[in-house]
Amino acid sequence: MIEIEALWEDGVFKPLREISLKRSRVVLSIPEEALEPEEEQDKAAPAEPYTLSGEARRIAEEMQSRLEAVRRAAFPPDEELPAVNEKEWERIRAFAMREDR
Amino acid sequence: MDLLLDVNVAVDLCTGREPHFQVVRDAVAACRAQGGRVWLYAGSVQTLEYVTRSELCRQWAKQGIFPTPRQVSHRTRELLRELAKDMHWLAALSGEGDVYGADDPEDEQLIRALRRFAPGTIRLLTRDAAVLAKCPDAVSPVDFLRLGEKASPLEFMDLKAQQDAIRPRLEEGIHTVLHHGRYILGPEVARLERAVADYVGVKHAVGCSSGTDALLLALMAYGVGPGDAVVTTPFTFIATAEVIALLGAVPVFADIDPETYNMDPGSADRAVRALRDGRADLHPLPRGEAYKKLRPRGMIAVDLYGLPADYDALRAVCEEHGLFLIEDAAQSFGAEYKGRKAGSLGDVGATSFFPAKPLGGYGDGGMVFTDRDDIADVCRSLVVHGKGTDKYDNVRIGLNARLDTLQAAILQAKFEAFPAELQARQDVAARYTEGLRALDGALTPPVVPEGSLSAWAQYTVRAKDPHTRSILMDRLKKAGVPTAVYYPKPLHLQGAFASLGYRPGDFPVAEEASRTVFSLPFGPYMAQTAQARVLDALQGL
Repeated sequence: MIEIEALWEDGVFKPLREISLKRSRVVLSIPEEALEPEEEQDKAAPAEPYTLSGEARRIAEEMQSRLEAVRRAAFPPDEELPAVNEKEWERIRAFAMREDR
Repeated sequence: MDLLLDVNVAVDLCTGREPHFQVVRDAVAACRAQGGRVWLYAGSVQTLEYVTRSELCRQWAKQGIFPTPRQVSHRTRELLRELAKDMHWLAALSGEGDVYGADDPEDEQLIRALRRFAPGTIRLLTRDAAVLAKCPDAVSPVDFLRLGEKASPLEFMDLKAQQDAIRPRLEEGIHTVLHHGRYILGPEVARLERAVADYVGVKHAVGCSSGTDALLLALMAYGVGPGDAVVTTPFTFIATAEVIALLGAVPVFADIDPETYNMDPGSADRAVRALRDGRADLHPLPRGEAYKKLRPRGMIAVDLYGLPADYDALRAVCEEHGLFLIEDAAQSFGAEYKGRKAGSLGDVGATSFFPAKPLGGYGDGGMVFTDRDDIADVCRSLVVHGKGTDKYDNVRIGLNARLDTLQAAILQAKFEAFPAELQARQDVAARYTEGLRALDGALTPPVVPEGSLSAWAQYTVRAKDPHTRSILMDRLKKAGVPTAVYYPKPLHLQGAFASLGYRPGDFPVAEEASRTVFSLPFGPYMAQTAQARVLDALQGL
């Protein structure tokens, strides 16, 4: 058994040093404190009563529908998109530490 | 009440992040439903992009979706663009740069940015407990919603909506001037003069410091002075006649047309004949010995509310009597008369860039239009203290009346949007006129003669009598609909012109108009919902 460091990036673990594996699937042990508590993530917003006018509701629904349409659209083929350059990757890594949640 | 979004809530909204999405969405929607604006801080773009990206990846990973890095970048930017569509970018200013003494520089930037807004007009929407604790203007989405929605008052003229539409160009123009530093007669002034001259269809446009100065310059260029009489309308803003008196000449009023409210060419003709022949029985003239021997020199026609006067008829009067014709196009920039643009309809045109005008700046400004080289040359000299070859060679007594560079930069940005705004004004006016027709003649909508196009500086209606106007305006006020009267007292009855000895009854059409007209809220960005609110209030009267 060896221990290596890996970076969790865009939903993928990336080892921080070169390794050669005989198998494509291995088991990773992740310390408890590194995991986000699921119950926190999925806890409902405080159920505070507030009233929304018909116009506000209309705006809310229209905004949600526009954003969802973008979020749910099929991804364009990778090869049709501009490359992510090294400079951008550096920034992505730097910001990976920050989640603003 | 506006909202400035902290990154955390912007990401909630953009990514649909649970459990926060719904309450943030509702807070933003409630703000917009009240007529508030939602701002994103331009200094946060990078943070917004990368935090959004990270959150999207987290959500996709949970669903077992692993797009490629390019796809992630593409989708992140698409979402942010969509989010920003209904929002406004708040520029990061230099005062928000040195924030390194703060515990959290990024929060400090947002807190400082709030200071640009009038107190009580904006809140910083955030879920960040530290920001909520230290910034009294910060509010959580739930607390914002608890405040309840308050309908924003209907504005008589919504200048903010225009600013929202053209903010990037405005800021670019203003900052360009700040950086090049040519605050007086900088390159923006000449560029605006050329562009506007081409639009109006005249050879020369001379920028100046106000619409009033534009009229004054035109009169000075004609050498108007003591002993001269200039015929004009009494149903206008005082500037039109004030400039005549300022030069020691005498304004001689002619009554107006009851439908268009513009100077009646027949009355103007009688005024000139009465002056020429010394016949006060033909037309009411200034009373007193001092006014017995006035020489009719010219005429100032006003395009009231944005509608050009009847220039063919007025020009005929001027030509018959050898008078100059000045067009006071303060309210009519963009209007047309028989295929020609307002500003080009007299020998000289004068317009105003007062903020509420169809093409208005963020301060005072004006412009003189003419095809005559000699008039243009004199006006260019007059605006700079009567300069000759340079400003220290003074060949005539002039004014300090230049259009300043910052106003020119602002006007350039506004001028680019002007053609679309002019069309929008036609649409808003048409909707009003159609809505008023359903009121069975309780109010008379404005009349636009065939061959004319109004610039709709105002949408002015007429009540059947003064009492009805008073009741209507009062009821509209109670319904939250602001109105205004342009103009409640005709000039011949103003105290400033008391020495002319005019009396009530001298110009009965103008006097009746001043007692019965009033203007409704209007503007090119007026939402149909706002207009419906006005018409609904009128329906109930």
